[in-house]
Order: sequence, then C-alpha cells, then structure tokens
Amino acid sequence: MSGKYSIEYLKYSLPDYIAKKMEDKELESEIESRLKTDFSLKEEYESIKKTFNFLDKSDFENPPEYYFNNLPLKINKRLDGKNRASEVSFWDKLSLIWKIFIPAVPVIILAIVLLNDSNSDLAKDKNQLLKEDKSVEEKSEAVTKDDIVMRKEPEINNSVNDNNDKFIKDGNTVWSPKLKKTAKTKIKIKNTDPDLLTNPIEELDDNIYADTMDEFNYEESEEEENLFYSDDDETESLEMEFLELTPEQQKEILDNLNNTQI
Amino acid sequence: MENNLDINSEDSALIQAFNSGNDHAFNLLVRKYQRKVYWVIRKMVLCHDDADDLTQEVFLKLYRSLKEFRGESKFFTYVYKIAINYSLNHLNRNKKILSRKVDFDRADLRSFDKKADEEIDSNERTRILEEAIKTLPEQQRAVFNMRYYDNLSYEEISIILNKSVGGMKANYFHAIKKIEKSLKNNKHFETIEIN
Repeated sequence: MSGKYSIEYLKYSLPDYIAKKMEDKELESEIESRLKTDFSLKEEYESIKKTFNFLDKSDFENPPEYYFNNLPLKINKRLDGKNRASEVSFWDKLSLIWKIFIPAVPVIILAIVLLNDSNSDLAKDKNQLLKEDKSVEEKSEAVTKDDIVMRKEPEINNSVNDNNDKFIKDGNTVWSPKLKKTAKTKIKIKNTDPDLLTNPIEELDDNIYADTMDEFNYEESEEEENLFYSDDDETESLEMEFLELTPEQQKEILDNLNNTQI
Repeated sequence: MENNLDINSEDSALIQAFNSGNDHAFNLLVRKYQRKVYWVIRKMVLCHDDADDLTQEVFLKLYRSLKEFRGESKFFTYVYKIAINYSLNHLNRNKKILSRKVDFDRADLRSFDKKADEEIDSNERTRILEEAIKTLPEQQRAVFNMRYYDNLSYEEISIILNKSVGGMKANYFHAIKKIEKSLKNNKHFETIEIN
C-alpha cells in the first residue's frame, strides 16, 4: 500500500483529509498511515489544520439587515428601467433626430441655395466665356476674311497675269504676258517686208502696238476695261504697268524686244 | 399557473414558466439564489458595495440569457459560472486598487497590534481573514472559495473555470499555504489559536 502515492500527492490531499472531504478511501488510509511515520507530512498536516481552525472560526462581515429583502426589488427596478429605456428609446431616438434635423434643415436649404447660385454663376461665366470665344472666333474669321479680301484684290489685279509665264510669239507679234491685262497692249513689230518698210527706224514708235491686235486673244470684261484702260490713259497705263513689273521681268521684255527684228 | 410556483419549486419549472412570459417565476429564482450568488461574489471581491452591484448585474444577465439555458448542467452551476466570471473580471479591473487597499488594512492592523492583550473579537477575525484572502491570486481565490466554502467538487470547479481537475487540487493546496503564510505574519494569529 505504501509507496503508491508520492509524498507531494499526499500533501496536496491533506486539506481534503483534514476537512474530511476525501472521496478516495484508499488514499485516505494511505495518508493516515504515512502521518505516523513521515515527519514532513505530519508537520504539513499540523500547519494546515491550524489554518483551517482559524478559517472555521472566522467569517465575513454580513450585509445590512434588510439587504436580501430589498435585493429583488432593486433588481426589478433595474429591469423595469431597462425595459422602459428600450420602449422609450425609439422616441428618444426620434426626438434626437428631430433635435438635430430641425436646426439642420435651414442650414441644408441654405447650402443648396448657395450651391445652385454658384452653379448658375459658373454657368453664366461659362456662357460668357463661350460667347467671348465665339466673338473672338468671329473676329478672327472677319480678320481672315479681310485678309482674304485684301489678298484677293491684288490677286484680282494680278489675275490676268496668272495664265502666262512666258512670252507668246505669234508670227510678228510678241505678246507680253505681263502686259496682257491691258486691253490694247500693243507691241509694234518691225515689218520685215522690205517693200513695205520706208523708214524702219521711224516706224518705231514709243507706242508699241500689235498688228495682230485682233488676234489678241485676251479676254477682258468691260469693267476691267473701264478700270484699267481708257484711250487717253493708254500710254500712261502701259508705262505704269511696266514699272510695276519686277526688274527681271522688265529685262526679259526688253531682251525679247531687242531680239525681235524691228 | 402562477399560483403553483413558489421558491421551492424545481428550477426547471421556474425556468419554463419564465420563458413562457411569467416574470413572477424570475422573481422566485432571484429570491431562491440571491444569497448564494451574493456570497460567491462577496468572498471574491470582499467589498459589500462591489458585491451588491455585481449581484444585480448577474441577475440582469440571467434575465437576458435564461432563454439560452439548455438544462445540460445544473441551473446553479450555470448561475455560479456567471457570478465567478463577473467577479474575476471585476478583480482584474481593480487589481491596483486592491493592492493599495491591502496596505491600508495592514497599517490599520499594525496599529491594532498595540492592543495585543485585548481579546480579538469576530470583527478582527474577519479583517484578518479578508486580508489573508486578498493575498490570493484571482484563480486561487476562486478555487479556494468554491472548495472550502461551497463544497464544490474538483470536477465542478474545473468545469466552471475551464481548467484541469489535477490543477484545481494543486491550486487549492497552494491557496491554503498562502493563507497560512499571511496568518503567520499576523501577530494575532498565535493568540487566536490559543483562544
């Protein structure tokens, strides 16, 4: 029987042994026999017994006299308070919502109004900007158109020169492309028929005119004719035209004239 | 139905009546177990006011959770577990306050030690006892109270605290050794023993 339990296990069982709460009878008898022989176990037994003697005689301070009579009432009161709180909570919540919501309504309305105003202002600004852009575009277009018109005028003036980049020699007629715009550009060509020429030099005239004027295939409108030509101004216009040419063009005309047998 | 119920009715009958909407049945459960619940808590927290608050909290908790009780264990074991848990939580929250309180009490005892020749009355025993129990860690205190004062088995204690049975036995032994050490440090202990 001895030696089945360790001395430590026996010591752990001493409180129950002393309090007579042992459930294991075999263990109880083991402790009883070891107490007679084991001094350390005996010493432990004495100290725990002393402690239990004090605990058995000691007690905690009792609560107030009517405490347990009132405790159920206090518990019911707290339960009723919680139930009431849960019933009222909905209304409390609602009132809380109203307390917050009602003051917030004017603020919200004001915010909406201000937002709308700012949006409308922004829209107005945007429209104004768009209009300004349009006007700028229109102006730029107008400017462009004006530029075009201005460019076209010289184009109109120069349109008659566009078709001919070089001189056309047609028999004894040399057509100056640059002077073609004038209705009666005349380039006098020296008559090579010796029978017809009496004084070839005298035949030369400041007025250069073409014999084959009729074959002058330049077509001009009557308006242009009126704009650019008149009988009295024929010479002056030719001179003006010649002066308006570039030096290279003038030189070219003169060279061609010199090359022709006048 | 309400007239058939009283404080001596079976727990299962009272619980069933309560779950059916009979609040009087709950009042009967309160009256039946209020002392046990109070003392379980009181011996843990050692202060009446704290024990009063916690006792009410336990019964409020019971009111809310009684519908979940499935009857797999004894009803009082279920209530006991709630009470112990609330007590342990309270002690954990107030660890620092308790340590200061012990020092204050020891100061009072030291001043009282000057009256060594006077008989120690029960109030002093109570004070010595409470001082000794205060030295116990929370779990050892719970094991000691459940075993020494409430006669719960180690198996029941292990279920309530969710610990091993062997560990509970060792905890109980060490708790007693700590109380013994605290009592030996008190000069009145030898006098008490003689008396």
